[in-house]
Amino acid sequence: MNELPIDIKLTYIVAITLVFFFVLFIIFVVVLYNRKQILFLKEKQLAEAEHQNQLLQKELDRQKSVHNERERISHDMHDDLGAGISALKLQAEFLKKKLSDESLQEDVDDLLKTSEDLNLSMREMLWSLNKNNDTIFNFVDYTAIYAENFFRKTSIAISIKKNMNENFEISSEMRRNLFLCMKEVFNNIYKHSHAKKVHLIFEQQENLFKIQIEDNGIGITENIEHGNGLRNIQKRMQEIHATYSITNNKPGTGITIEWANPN
Amino acid sequence: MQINLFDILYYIVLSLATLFSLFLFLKYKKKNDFIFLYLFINWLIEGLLYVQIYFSFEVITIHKYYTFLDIFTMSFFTYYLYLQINNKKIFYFFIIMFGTYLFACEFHFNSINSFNEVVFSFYLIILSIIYYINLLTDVKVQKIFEIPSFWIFSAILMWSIFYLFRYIPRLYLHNQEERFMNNIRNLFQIINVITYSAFIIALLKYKNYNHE
Repeated sequence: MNELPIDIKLTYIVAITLVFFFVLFIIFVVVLYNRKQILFLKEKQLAEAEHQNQLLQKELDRQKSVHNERERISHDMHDDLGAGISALKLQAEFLKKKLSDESLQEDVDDLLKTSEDLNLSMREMLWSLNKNNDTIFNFVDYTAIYAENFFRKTSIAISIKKNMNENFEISSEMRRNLFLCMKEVFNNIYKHSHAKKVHLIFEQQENLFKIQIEDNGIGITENIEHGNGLRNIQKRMQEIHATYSITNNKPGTGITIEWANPN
Repeated sequence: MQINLFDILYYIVLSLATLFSLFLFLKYKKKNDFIFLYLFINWLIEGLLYVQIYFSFEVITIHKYYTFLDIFTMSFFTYYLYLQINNKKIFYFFIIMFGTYLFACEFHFNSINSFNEVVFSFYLIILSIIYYINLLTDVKVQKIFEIPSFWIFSAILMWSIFYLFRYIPRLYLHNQEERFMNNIRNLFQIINVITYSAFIIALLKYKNYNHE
């Protein structure tokens, strides 16, 4: 190396220095990039969390406004429609007392019956609109009372059993769909089963909510199996992700509705 | 000038990189920002050069090949930088610089001008530095070693530094120290091998890279 001219030595030194700087520079870039990336990812996470919060807040606001609207409709119905139906009933009864013609009295009775039905429908609507009723216990109690009232007017005896242990919230949609299905089932029993007895069992097994309706009637016929009523039940069950099954018990029919509560 | 072991090793690595980029391009239809084109042109020109040297005949002078390759490399990496940073102002700035370079070197197709080669190296170094500045200001989700262009520009930066090291002595020594110049040439071929190995790594990263 001693023989090498100074220019060449200098070139080697420059080259080694350049390599050194190159390596240092790359290390500097990598370290700086990694630090910035950590900050960038944290900022991104924060932004995402904020976005999620905003979405959640929006959803909460929406639910709140839906709830407020439902309450308003519910109050309006109760105050306006309810009072109107009651006034109509009173007037009809007053009119009935004044009438001496029997055929006219029968017409007024029909009017009274329609008013009573209207009153019941309104109460059902109010029940389904009220957010405070969005619990499984409330649904069970309401359905049991409805069933008792429904079958009281018929020759069918009803026995109700409740094996419920834990109350939990259910959505209004869920509650409404389940109740309408139950109504349809009761109606079918009354119309087609020729049954004398009906057993209604509400049962809770861990996360599974089960309703069993058994009668001692003639069993299910082909017409009913493919009728609109059962199709509607099936559709409603699909909407709320529940299942239902029908068994021919000989005598009678058993209907089971099962819903796995995700809570 | 003769072909030695370092030249063969370099050409093998270059061929591997070119074949791999071709394979990726045809098989996966993956975007690799035209790296395939750059490698193919390099492979073709170096191949023609070696054939000329090996069979000792000269269709086109070596200097013309290298002048073309310099201009192509500068054009390619200017466009490649534009693809990475997507900044038109910087792109136009480099186009002007590149144009100035072309006028300054007056298309030296007849002889190698070391000064032009030095300017060429600096041009690539500036391109790389601009890339790094942009990389640090526009941080991505991907880890730095997963970004293909990082490997490409690191390779280009290293290559340019050694290219300077190769041509600066020419300015001083005027090819008087032949042994020393040969050593530098061999060393530069090793740098070429490292550079194109980095290109292969970049191509591997392109396989899984998502442009965001």
